[in-house]
Amino acid sequence: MIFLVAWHLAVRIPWLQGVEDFPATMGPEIVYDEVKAFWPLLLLLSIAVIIHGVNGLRGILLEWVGFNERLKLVVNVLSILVVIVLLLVAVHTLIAIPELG
Amino acid sequence: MEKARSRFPTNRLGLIASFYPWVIDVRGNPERIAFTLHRITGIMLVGFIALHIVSTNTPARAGWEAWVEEVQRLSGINPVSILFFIAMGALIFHSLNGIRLLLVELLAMGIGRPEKPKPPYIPPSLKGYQRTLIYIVLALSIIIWALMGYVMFLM
Repeated sequence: MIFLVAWHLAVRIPWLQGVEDFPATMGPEIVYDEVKAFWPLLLLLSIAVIIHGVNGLRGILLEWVGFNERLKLVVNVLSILVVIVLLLVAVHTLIAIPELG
Repeated sequence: MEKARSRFPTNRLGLIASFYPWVIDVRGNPERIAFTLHRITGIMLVGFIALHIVSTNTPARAGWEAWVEEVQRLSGINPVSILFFIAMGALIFHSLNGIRLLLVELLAMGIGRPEKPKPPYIPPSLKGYQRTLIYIVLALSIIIWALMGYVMFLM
């Protein structure tokens, strides 16, 4: 995940993309080419980051709720739901990216 | 009595201890500060990632024109770009500290070997270089964050 995040940040460095500033690295042509060429990496990054993040938050919340079994269940179910929703949005981003007009 | 209570915490400090490192005595305890920063930055990043995933869905949801408008919010110094910059700082610290934790906890680097506790006893973990790694992480985080600020705002 660390390597994927490092790559994800590195492609936003302007001189690596041959553009003049940071917002220009997110221009439609660059983003479209990136998604088309590296969608498996972006999908892997999304999966790793979403699961790591939500699981970390779940751990903190479970510490907080202590031994309350009902709240534990709520936290676990909500975590799974959040992971599923965010993954669906991420997959939609990759598969439904529109052609450049 | 009050001092004794702060030095010897109960087994379960609750949620406050997760975010407020000074519930226990942190004098000479940078590990505790690193733990708290890791937790705070982690929570910030969960929020950022959720927003990032929803906002990068813009081309698929609303087309490229909406995406271009969204990206324009990151140019120059404004509340959105400043929040983005803060999230990047959290990301850098969290990543570097995560690498440190892997080195120390998974590979047992910098914590020494167990030894007989002869007085004056100094735990081997305090004689190893694991604490130096914390200071390296903090220094590197600041340097990389500053470089990122240069790329975001000054280029």
